[in-house]
Amino acid sequence: MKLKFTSHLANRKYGYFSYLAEIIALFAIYFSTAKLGLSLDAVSRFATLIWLPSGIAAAALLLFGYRLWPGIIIGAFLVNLLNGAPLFVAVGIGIGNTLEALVCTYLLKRNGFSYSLDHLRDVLLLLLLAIPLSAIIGATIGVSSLFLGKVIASSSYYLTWEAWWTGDMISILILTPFLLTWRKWPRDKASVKRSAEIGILTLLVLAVGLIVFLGLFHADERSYPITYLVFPPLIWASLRFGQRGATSAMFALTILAIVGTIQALASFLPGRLSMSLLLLQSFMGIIAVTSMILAAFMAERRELEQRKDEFISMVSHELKTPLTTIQGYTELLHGRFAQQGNQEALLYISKMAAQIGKLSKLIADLLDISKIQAGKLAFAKETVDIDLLVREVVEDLQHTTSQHQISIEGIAQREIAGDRERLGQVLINLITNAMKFSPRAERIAVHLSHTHDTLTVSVQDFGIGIPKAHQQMVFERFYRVYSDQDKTYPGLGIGLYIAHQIIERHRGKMWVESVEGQGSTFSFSLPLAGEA
Amino acid sequence: MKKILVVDDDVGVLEMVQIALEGEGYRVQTSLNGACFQHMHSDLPDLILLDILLSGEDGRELCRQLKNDEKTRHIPVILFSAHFSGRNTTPLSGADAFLPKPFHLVELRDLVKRHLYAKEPTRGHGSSSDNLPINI
Repeated sequence: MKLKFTSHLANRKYGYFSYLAEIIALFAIYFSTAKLGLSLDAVSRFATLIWLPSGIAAAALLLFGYRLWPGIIIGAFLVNLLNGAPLFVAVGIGIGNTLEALVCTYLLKRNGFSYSLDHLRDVLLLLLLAIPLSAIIGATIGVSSLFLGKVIASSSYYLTWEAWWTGDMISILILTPFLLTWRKWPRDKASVKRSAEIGILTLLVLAVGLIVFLGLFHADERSYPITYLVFPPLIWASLRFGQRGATSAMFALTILAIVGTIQALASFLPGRLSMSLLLLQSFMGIIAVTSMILAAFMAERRELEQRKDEFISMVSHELKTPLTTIQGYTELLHGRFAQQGNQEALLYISKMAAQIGKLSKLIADLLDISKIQAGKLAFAKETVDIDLLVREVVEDLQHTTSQHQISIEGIAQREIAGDRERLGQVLINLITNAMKFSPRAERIAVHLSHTHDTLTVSVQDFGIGIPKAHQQMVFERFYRVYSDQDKTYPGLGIGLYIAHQIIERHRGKMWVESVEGQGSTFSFSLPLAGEA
Repeated sequence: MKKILVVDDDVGVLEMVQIALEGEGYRVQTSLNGACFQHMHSDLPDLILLDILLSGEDGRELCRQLKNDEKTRHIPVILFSAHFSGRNTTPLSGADAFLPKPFHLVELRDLVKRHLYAKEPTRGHGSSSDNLPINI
């Protein structure tokens, strides 16, 4: 990989002035944040624990390219010169700081680093390679320049180097990921529920930061070991809001922690400010690493789930094409044999057609699952005569069983606003489920009842029943029932899940009552038309 | 004899649809891709059955082009696909109908018949998709 600095400028879309403006902007940010850092009890006057410029410089080069390096070198040179460094020392520090950002950027780009930090590999690349190595370069060149320029004595070399290295590392660790994950504003608008969750989490982060680091409620009891309070909001942010949540919470807590430490309010106070900041920064570094790794794990898991659902969707679609051909030829053959009056062949063909129907239903169910997961299951809104729908479904399913007698008890005489086809699917799933799990029973009853605003449909079987501990799990995706004798029942465990989801989307409820060995009753209630 | 053009990149589906429609007395021409539309100047089909996901081509876009062409806009186009739903595809592409895969032959025959013989009063407007079953 070749580093490109300024040679490509001429043929770039941006002109010379916009390039200059970018460099000046980076210089200004670098210079002002550096000035702030150096004012905070810097070790040997030059090595500060609060060194925001390192994180800003690395993020700037990653996002806008190596070409912005002059902004870093000018900023670092000037701020150190004005801080009292001799000319050649300031030049040395400027070179060291610029190399630090360049090396960090190079190591990350060379290894295919993703700015969203959604993979553990990216986080480890940053934590174990780019940050320590680049900070070593920055600290070593900077502190050696001070030593060679006789600004510091050899006895304070290590202490200065330690503070420099820690300050730079923490800056790149906390600030760079924060800036990278916020390089783009989120495209999707957050739902009300999610916005509320973001609000509560933000308040919690601020509250914890104020209590732990700014001494709120315990200003006089500084020895309280309450720093562990930062973990719950950080874990929450990492689990629920990914890397963007983790880095934001971390950034907010770090700011509060620094302010608290500077004002001598926090619990890291064994001695002078630089020592306190060193301990604080080490603590912040460790929790930043923890939350970033956790967020990366969660992001990988989410990606895997998404890929699985996309795979199910893709396979289901691909299966439909050969199924179309098989179904077509089966129907063509049915027509031919019907013309010939070949009853035996017609019997075989009807059995084939029944199996094709099952396969078709299975593929449709799998597609529904992937649509539910993607939040893309669409519903029509129409007026549904539930008595008629139940009658139609029961009549259709009665043809498929010679063992069970399916009866309808009660009458609704009410209409529902919803998707007729999907509600039919719920009834089919519940009744076929009842048939499957009552292999020795002869009866299935569908009960219809209503109150002034709700309609309830129950499907009762007299089969194997469900143990109490499993009753809530039957509506989970891919949950399957095993009987006492370890006998398995066919199916993928998706019928009840789909039915439950459809009813929930109709603002209804679904539940089960069951006694093991005696049978189960699956019920759902829906608001009547005009009540929803 | 009415002529139907069937376009699908799956040979199995093409052959099966051809047999089914020829059995109904139609003249059926098949094509694995949209190249057939480039040479379609004379002997226009009376109806086109068009798959959406063709290899490297989008049936919806081909349908839009057909409906934007003065010469072909009167030809009813029935889109069929295993990947899309009628609600999203028919209005946007200007298609007259949508048939989700897998389908029963009786559905195919009914749809073809309906659009072949009922198109004259609504020629060029593609208005019959409103009554179609929608796969959601």
